Amino acid sequence: MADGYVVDSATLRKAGDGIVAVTDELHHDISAWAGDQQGATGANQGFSSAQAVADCEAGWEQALSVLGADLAAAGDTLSLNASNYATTEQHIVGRFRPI
Amino acid sequence: MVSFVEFRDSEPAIFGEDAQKWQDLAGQVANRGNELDQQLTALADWQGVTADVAKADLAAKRKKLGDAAITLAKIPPILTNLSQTLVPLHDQLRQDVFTAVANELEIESDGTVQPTPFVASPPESVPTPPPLPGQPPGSAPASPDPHQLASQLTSQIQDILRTASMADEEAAAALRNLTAQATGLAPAANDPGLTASATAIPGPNTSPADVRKWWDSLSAQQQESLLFMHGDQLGAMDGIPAVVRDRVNRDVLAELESRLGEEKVRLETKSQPLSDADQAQLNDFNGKLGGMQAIDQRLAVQPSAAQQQPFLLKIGVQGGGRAVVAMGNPDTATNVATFVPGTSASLATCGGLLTRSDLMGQAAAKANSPSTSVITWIGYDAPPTFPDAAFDSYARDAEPALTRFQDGLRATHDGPPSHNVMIGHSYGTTAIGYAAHDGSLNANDLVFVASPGVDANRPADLHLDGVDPSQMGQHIYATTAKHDIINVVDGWFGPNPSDAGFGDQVFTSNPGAAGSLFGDSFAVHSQYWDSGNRALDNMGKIIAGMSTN
Repeated sequence: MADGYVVDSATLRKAGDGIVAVTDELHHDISAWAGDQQGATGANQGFSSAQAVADCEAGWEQALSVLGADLAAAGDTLSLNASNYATTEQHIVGRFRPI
Repeated sequence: MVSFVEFRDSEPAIFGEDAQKWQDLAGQVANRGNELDQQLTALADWQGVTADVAKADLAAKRKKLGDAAITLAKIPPILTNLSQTLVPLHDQLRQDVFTAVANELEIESDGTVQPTPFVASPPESVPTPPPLPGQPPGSAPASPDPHQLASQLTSQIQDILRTASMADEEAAAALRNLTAQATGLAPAANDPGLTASATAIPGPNTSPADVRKWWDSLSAQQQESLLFMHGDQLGAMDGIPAVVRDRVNRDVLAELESRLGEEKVRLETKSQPLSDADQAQLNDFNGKLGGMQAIDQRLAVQPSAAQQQPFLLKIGVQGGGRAVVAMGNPDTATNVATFVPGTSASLATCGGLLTRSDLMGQAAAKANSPSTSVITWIGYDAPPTFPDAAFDSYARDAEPALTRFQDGLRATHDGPPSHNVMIGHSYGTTAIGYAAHDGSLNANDLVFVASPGVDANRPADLHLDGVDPSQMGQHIYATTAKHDIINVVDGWFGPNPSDAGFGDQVFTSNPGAAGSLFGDSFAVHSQYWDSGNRALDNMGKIIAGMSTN
């Protein structure tokens, strides 16, 4: 274990895999919700609210999907690189980015 | 403003139903945030420059998830209030419409009610006018002045439309303030997740080998973004690793179940009896939903020696539906079998077919296969009925997908090449035969169970990648039970590969009980996977690369 580390690579990998698993569940939630969300717009054409709901749906589906993908990518990065952290820390710094 | 027709034809209760769905989503997103916290807690002791950057990044994303949950939770009350306002107004409108129609009044788009031009009716057909609006039930029928009644209804209906429109505009304004964009939670145009999701996906004619190379060339960000944004495409793409396809297809399955479930409810709530077309569609939805539930149940089984980890390689509802499910990871298994079922195989009937794959996996393990994956391949529209099975069009249509799938298995397999077997049953043997006759299949061995013919007069008429035509007889195995009903159509698509003269490896299956049609039986046609049937043991041996008996 390199200086500055108090967790080992197995812990990092487990956390990374766990994050990906959470995002898979999030993706599952989004998919089921998106497949079920076609009622108000189709049945209530002419209502401003129906269009507003449709706009909410489209925007939130994209926002949650991108956020989920970002989280999953971060989880992947943790998992895939866990065993190399001790020697490649500086390289990995650049793979995380503030949002 | 909402017009009379729009409000009359609307279903305002749906706003209330949508409210519940948004509430559910808000709760799920909040829960995922809590689950994420548990993972992040494990990183608390991680220190160093990388740790600081990574933890800050993850914390920011976690906060965004929490903010999303809070915002999403503000949407349901708006929709609930809207529904609660509109539903009684809608009921009142329907009553007014009834009154207007009963009194031969017309309603304009803006809610104005007018007497219709007088048309003389036969005396016996003159309806009894209902009471004026507001009069108690049972009161003596009035004979309202049409103009007075029209004026009264106009006032009422226009009030309803005004009130409904106000409620609609208020709700719409509130909802517009809660979009991802309005709340600052939409991804920026340069968000890596968003830009990565725009990564070009290979076209449908790209070879599975090239798909694999493309996938491996992507960054983790690109892969995850594509999975989230274009999962339905990737999940169906041969050349994408099985683990990845399984991940994303489980989401596709959930989406399809929700969509079909909603469409089913709509049909069920239509006025009865349904038209023949609607009834046929409802039956189709029920069948497919049943098949998807069977897949759900199998996916949820805790892996064991008898029931290996399943991988959902394809799911779809087009035609008779698509379901490709591997029992065991085909990318790592030593022996991989593709099971192609025949007549009546569909998404709706896939439950029993998945069980057959489990049974063949167990038989292969019994034959000392070190690791096995058996794949139920419903990647084509099989003939729905036995009369349909007289035509070869279903087999011809299956050729491209079957060939491509086998190429994909090779492309995604890790380590030394696996021993790949294709097992057809009944018309499934014909589908395999046509593909192997017209082209070449990427497999080591073919197994034909209860075949009506495989479009070949001899083994050399069929082609396997890398196998010399003169050696094909050593790579084809076949069996037909003595009392199988398939014997009635023996030779329909060419000589029976189970006949000794065909030149392949014929293996034993139990004869089954004699039936009433020339001694043959429909039941025997489906007994090859029954416990104790020697055919099942032999299929296990073939998968394991052992000799049969």
